[in-house]
Amino acid sequence: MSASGSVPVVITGMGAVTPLGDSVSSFWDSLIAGRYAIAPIKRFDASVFQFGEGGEIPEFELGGRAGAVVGRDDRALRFAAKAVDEAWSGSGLSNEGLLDEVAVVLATNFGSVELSEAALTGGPCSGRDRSGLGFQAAADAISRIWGFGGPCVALSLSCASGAAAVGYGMDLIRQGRCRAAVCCGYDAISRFAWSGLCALRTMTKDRIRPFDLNRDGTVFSEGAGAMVLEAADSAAARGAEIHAELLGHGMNNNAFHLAAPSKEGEGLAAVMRMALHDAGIKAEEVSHVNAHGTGTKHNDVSETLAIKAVFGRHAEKVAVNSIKSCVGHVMGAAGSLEAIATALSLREGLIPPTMGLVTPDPECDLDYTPNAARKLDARVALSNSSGIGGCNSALVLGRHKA
Amino acid sequence: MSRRVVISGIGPLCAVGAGREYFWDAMKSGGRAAADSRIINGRKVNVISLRNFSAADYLESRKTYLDRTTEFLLAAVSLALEDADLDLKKEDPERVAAVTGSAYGCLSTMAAYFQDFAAKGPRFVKPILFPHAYANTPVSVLAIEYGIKGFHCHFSAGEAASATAISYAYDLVRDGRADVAIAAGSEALHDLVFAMHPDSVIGEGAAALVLEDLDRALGRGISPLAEVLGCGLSCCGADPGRGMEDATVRAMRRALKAGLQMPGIFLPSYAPHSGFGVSELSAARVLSGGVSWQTLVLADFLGNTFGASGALQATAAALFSADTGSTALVSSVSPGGSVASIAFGPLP
Repeated sequence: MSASGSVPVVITGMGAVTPLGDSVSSFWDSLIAGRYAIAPIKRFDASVFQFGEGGEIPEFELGGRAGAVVGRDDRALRFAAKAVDEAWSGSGLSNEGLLDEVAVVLATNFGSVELSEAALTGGPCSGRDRSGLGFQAAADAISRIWGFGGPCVALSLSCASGAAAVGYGMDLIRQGRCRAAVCCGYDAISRFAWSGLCALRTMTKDRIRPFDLNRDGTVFSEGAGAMVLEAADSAAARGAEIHAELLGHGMNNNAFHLAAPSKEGEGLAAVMRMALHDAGIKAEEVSHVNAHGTGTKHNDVSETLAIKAVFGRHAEKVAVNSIKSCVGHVMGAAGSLEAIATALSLREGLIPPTMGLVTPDPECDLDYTPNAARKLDARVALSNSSGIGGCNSALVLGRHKA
Repeated sequence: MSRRVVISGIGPLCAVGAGREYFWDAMKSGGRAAADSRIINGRKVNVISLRNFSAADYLESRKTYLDRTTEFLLAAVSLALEDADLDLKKEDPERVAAVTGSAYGCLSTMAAYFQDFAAKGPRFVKPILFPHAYANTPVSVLAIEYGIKGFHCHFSAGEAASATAISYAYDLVRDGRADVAIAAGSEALHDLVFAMHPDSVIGEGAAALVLEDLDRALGRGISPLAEVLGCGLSCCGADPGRGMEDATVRAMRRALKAGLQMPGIFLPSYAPHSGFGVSELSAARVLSGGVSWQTLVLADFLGNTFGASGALQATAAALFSADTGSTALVSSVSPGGSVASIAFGPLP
């Protein structure tokens, strides 16, 4: 039983919109195959920027109720709506008459800021142009489209947003504030976001190579990852398909620096311990860590040190990976997509590879599942996320015992 | 484990004053802050701003750059910690939580960054502005300033943002996942906000509350202000028109919980004559069986303070509960239909 001693929570629906595929199955197949999502940016003139490659999603049709509501120009919300649609449809909850007991938790770094570029530059603009400036409007739209009447919340913890959405949704269920929660992390690449991400100087002109000796930065992508979480007894009672169990989570801050991780990874180690304590799980029960693994010099070393600090000698037996090596860093969606990948790893008994890892780094000396997917009979896994401002989030997932 | 959660310190920062004394005097006397009229895009907006605010009055060290929303948050937390007689340096940092809310976050910095980008091109933007433009920058700066390493979250939930933050902070302390939680909301004015809300009275400010376990607060030798009885969250779903009253009833019922302690004072987001105010008033009548509750609309004093409003309402509610010995109920509504409700009760 978890530290909070409350309602067990399970995952009954998942949805993904990514540069590697616009469904969970295509996303997962691409991860296992080690496909690389990154290409020259086409949507705007990236030649003016220092870095010009990222993971873009081509235009797609958004059908159904969402398509009637979400404008074609609001790409970020289109990603979220499509991912939520897949997750909600897959959960089977739509027929259960529970809408007032379903929460929505949306999380993002930049929201629909692309809509508001004209407004932000001080030029003439309409109300619609300004509508992207607050994030809650997107959460409200998702609630309205599907009729959810439970808590409806937008949160933002930079690149820990997606994982934080899952953790907060879990807490809403455990605290009895709802019976199910639709949790979605999402972000779109825009000129504004791209200019700022370039200014942070964390990107590489090479491919992203998490934990590799010659790594020199990350690459950014866009997309959305959605999960439907449900109280375990509710899911079991209706015979739902359960993808994995959510055992615990943690969110914290390094309290060190706005833009740099602490060198020894103390904050990330602390959030992993927080999540394990919340889950009531000992470190040695964990077989797999889906790392934040951004491919920057600092993050990968500090994360390695954090994993060692938490797991001790057991760290040598843990299969670590970074799916950012394939899909890129999907910003506000990273944590939720990585949670989906972790859930699938437990369900399928298969760990996606860390691609691009060709030269080992003596400072990063754990098993990072290099270059090929691997079978792993894991019962418990952990997924890490960190973000600007020193935010960290960790999720503990368990294989569902049918 | 379920603990009783109390408010051990408050830090209001708004146009009627900074700190408990000035804020409470204004609430009791009905003193309203003066508004300036501005014309934005040809429409009149009445603006209630924090005049003569200086972050340096509240910070121990000079900062290179801070967005005004961040400055407000740090100032409010400084006031709240002083009010709570709490020195965070003496606390286990991993057991202190920081949970905040804001509707528009660091909008001034985001606009400044983007205007810099538009004027000079991407290679010559000021890099310091971008990390200060994130929605979570205020809570992250707060954590860095005070060494807070426990639970950490930021809600961008419109006008319900800070009430949602308070509800999460309440849950964290109640469930023993934090010993102390700082819950706060902050919002700074910007022309873009005015343009989105023409013909309105717009305000700015912040409020921070220190939440603790009752036994712990008493053990520190302080007298908590009020108890947090419960919180409720909901939204109106598919039909904002018909569903708003129902959503507000559900949130308020959850806040008041079993026993349905009728409030002595009700603090809604909106004035009774406004669209959402009508729903809030109707919801109150449903719960009270038609009996009228004493009502205080903070927006009448301070303007619409967006993401700071819930925390300012909660601050006023805690003060009224302590003063009158009765329950106080907050309703915090965002225009898209999300509702957060918090009930405060006096301590015996």
